Amino acid sequence: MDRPKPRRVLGTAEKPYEDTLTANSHLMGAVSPSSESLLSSETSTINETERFVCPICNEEMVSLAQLNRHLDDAHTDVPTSAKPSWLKKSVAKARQLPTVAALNRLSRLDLFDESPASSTDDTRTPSPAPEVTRAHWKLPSDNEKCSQPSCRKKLSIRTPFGNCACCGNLYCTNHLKFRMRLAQDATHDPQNGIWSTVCEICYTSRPGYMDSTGAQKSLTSAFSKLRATAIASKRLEANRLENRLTRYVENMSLLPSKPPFYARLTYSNKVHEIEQSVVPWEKDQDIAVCRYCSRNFSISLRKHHCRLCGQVVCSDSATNCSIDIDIQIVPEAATEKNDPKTVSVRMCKRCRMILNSRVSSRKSSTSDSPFLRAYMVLTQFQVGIKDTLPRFEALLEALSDESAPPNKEQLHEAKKIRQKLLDSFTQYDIAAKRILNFPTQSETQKKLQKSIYAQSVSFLQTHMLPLQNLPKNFSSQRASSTASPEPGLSEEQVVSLRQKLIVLEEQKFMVKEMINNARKSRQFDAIAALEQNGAELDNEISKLQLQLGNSVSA
Amino acid sequence: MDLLAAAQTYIRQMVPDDGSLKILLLDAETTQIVSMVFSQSQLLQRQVYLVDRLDNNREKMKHLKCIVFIRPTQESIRNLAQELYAPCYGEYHVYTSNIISKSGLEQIAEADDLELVTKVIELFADQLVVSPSLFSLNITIPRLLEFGSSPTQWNPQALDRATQGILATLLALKKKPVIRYQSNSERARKLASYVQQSVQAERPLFDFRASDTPPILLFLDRKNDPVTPLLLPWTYQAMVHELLNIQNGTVDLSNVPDIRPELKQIVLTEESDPFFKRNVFLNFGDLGSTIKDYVDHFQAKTQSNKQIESIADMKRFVEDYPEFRRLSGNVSKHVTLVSELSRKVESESLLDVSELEQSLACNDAHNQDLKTLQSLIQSSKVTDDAKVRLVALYALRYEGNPNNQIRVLMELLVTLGVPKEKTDVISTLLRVAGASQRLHDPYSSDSIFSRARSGFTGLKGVENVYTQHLPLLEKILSWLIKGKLRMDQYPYADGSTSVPQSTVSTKERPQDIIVFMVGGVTYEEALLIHKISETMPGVRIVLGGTSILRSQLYLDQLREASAQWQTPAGHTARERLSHRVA
Repeated sequence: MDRPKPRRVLGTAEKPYEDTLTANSHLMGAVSPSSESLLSSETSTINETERFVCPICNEEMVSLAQLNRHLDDAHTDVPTSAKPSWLKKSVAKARQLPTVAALNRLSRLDLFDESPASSTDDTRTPSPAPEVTRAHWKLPSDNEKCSQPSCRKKLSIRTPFGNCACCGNLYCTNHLKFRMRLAQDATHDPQNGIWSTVCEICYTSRPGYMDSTGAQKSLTSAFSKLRATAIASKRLEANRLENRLTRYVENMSLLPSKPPFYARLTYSNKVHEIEQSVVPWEKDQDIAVCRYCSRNFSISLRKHHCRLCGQVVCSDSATNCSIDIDIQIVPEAATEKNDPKTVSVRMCKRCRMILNSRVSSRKSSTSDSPFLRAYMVLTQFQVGIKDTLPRFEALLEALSDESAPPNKEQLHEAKKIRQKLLDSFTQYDIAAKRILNFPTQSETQKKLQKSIYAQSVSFLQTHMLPLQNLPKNFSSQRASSTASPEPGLSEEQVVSLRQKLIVLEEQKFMVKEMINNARKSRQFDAIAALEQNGAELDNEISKLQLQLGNSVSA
Repeated sequence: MDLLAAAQTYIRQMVPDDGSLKILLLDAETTQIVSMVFSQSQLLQRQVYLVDRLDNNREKMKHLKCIVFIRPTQESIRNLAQELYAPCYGEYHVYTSNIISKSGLEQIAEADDLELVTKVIELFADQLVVSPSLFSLNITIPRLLEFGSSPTQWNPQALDRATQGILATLLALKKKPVIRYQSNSERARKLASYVQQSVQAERPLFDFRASDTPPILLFLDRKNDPVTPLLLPWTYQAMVHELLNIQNGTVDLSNVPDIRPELKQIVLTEESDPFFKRNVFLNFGDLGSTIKDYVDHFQAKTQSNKQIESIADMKRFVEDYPEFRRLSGNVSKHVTLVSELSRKVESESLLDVSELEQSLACNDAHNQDLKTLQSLIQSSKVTDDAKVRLVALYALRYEGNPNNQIRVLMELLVTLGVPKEKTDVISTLLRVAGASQRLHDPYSSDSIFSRARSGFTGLKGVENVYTQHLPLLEKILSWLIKGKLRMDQYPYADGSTSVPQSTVSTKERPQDIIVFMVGGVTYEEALLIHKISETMPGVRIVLGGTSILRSQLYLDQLREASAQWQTPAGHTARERLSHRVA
């Protein structure tokens, strides 16, 4: 046996295997160059006080496990080279001992694996190793339990335990398997902290540990800048084209509309002059294909010039690469007898588009369309219901509290809110149906309306159905409190009957829907049950109607 | 380190619950990305009433707000620009699933004459999220082959896609990792250095909170463990994938005999199906009893629904009905799936096949294995694919055995009527992932002791004869977590081998690990990750791969790839094989 002394020292521990293990950790973590003296001092402290005192810094420890961890955490600055070689050898040997290896694995404390990790910290931290504070550590009382909610094991000398270095609570060693870096004030410090043993709660509640929002980058401002320059250059271009257009049209309008035959030549010269003054034309011979439709020019596909940009394009009416656009000129003063004059301008595709986009820039928003208004109504009801529901639930909770019998005001209030909710549900349903049946030609619009309706049905199912089984418990209470032997129905009863009727009608409608759905998906077993249901509902409804009808006639 | 939560957060941000009428426009790839993590009804709840493809023709609906979510590929950007030239909707919010190029942004800006785009945001959801700890980049045939002109080359397109996908994953998880790779794999090295470069290039984006230990991104190559994808798994998800093929969360059952029409195409994701989520990792035996309980539970509900006597019963019935209907749909789905699985197990004598597979993977018993193999490949029940798989496993195992019968067995397969192009894949497999190509010997864990020592404590080892095999990944991860992953076998991508800082990080136990498997990952390995994180609290692992493999896909991919590889001069694959066999 190569470790007789530590074993004697730690004889207070109960399990023999446990102490071979802890002895090993001592050897690893805390052996000073003169191991002989260390061991004797340790023996004496235990004999004196029956408490554990750190042999190096004389700090008091409450348990063996705590001492071990203290030694691991705080006194790892002993240079590895200072360990006597016999020690290294025996540690190496001990590692290979099957029992130790097995135990090491079983306890999964990984003492051997982690101590070098903590010793590497010393390369970063300055030499008088700073310590994580222990001021907040909880001292064990007689009846201490593991702070892990799922564990709550009683902590005693038999169940090794220790403090979480971060929150200071006591845990059994099974729930102290986590290590993270702590600064000296026991807060998390991922960069320069000291590796310390912590509990799961502290480990997982580190800032950023459970973060599930991924990174993202907004390019909106970069985008708007790019767009602004693009639009500015387009505006510029559009302005230029517009200027050219006005110049062209003005000049052309000054020419007489129908030149006499002797002036034909000068006329066409003049036209050409005007055209060239607006924009110089591209040379015909340089261009072999139309720039938009990429077809070769030929006798049947003639070359034309766009009057605004001067580029050569075709004039095929199928592709609309360029077309003549007639522009009417209304003379400002009707001094001459001239009728409004028209000038035709040949424009290529691109110039046309740029000028057009200027005209039709942003269309007015369509927010006042009847469909949108119908949808707004629907969302308003939905918001209203969502706001009211929690209030109703809170009231109901107060009512169902067994200890305090409900008072009248509360009941009244609850009834009022419930009625309000039921009303809004009905209106919500009506609004949803209105959207479904909104007249439209468009397929997509139809699809849209169907989806909105589907969503509204599932909204009703999740929010309205729970509401319906609730009134039962307080309607019975009310029945007992306000039971009156009158033959005619009181106003209150009429109201409650009406409510019941509404509920039942609503259910009948739903059952019908379900039957239809079941038919579609061929679930015949479900249909039978549903139909029976529907029949009973009908029964109940007619009964109620009879009652109500009686009271009204009476 | 929860991929699913991260992806859902992104989508929730994209489609806020603000009451406005919305349409979601997607491209081919984002459609898959979204559908893996968000259901139609969840979208409806957030007022997304229409979902359409950007490349479709659509009607003008000026009263809708349009949410565009695209991968910033050239094609999608062009489509978006066209949409903006002739806008159908009143307002556009543009989200991209990855980093968009400057020219792409310009292209969109130029098209947006009417200033309808109010938001352009890069989100990083560029991977298919299968579960919180598993993702795939879906680089598979027939869409995109990952191999280039030789077994050690990437297809350049696939390499780009993989780099982008991993970059997005890192950004979604907010990790700036140290990168390591398997030294014997050229493809892993290349991908690792590409990712390293992109992380460097996008440094401002990777400005995250420091972690106690740097997260580790580890690149592995499938060729070091060719055995795992060839074995028949016995857990629910893995088995459905192997035998029926899960594609982007749906299973096509139209080939199943006597299938009801509504079950021809079923959705199978953990997100949408709580029963599946509970039993993803359950083995086939236990699954049977769980399904039985599920059916009993359903029947009890049906019974109580039949006994309707009072109005109260009826109300309860009406309230429970939607839930009841959902349950009934789910029960019939899982019953169909499991009965189809057991039909296949029975009719293709998969128990015998699997027993031999496990023996080939875990034991060294040549003569006995050969005998069983010979009798099995002559059986008429065993499918051709299973036969090829068995011979492939045999070839991988006994490649170095002087008495091996690989060639004889391959000829036997051909005479038994297995098409020759199917058997040829065995020689391709040996060329790509034979003993000479592998970094570790997956068969080394012969003695029980060495297995116990290397493995994780608390991981259940040998459960039964059909699940003896543990993927190589288990060993690699245990080395990594213990800080014993060798520097020469798994170097750093930045080239530093002995910088003091990196030695520190090797000694510290890593807390967050991302493993990416070049060449595809298996559900079997996802199961392993799940088990490890159960036994090692405090260590979080995310697993990803170019694709999620099943044996058939793995072999098909090799076959497809080998068609474009030139065989080394003078030797055909067959000659080289016979060389090795002789």
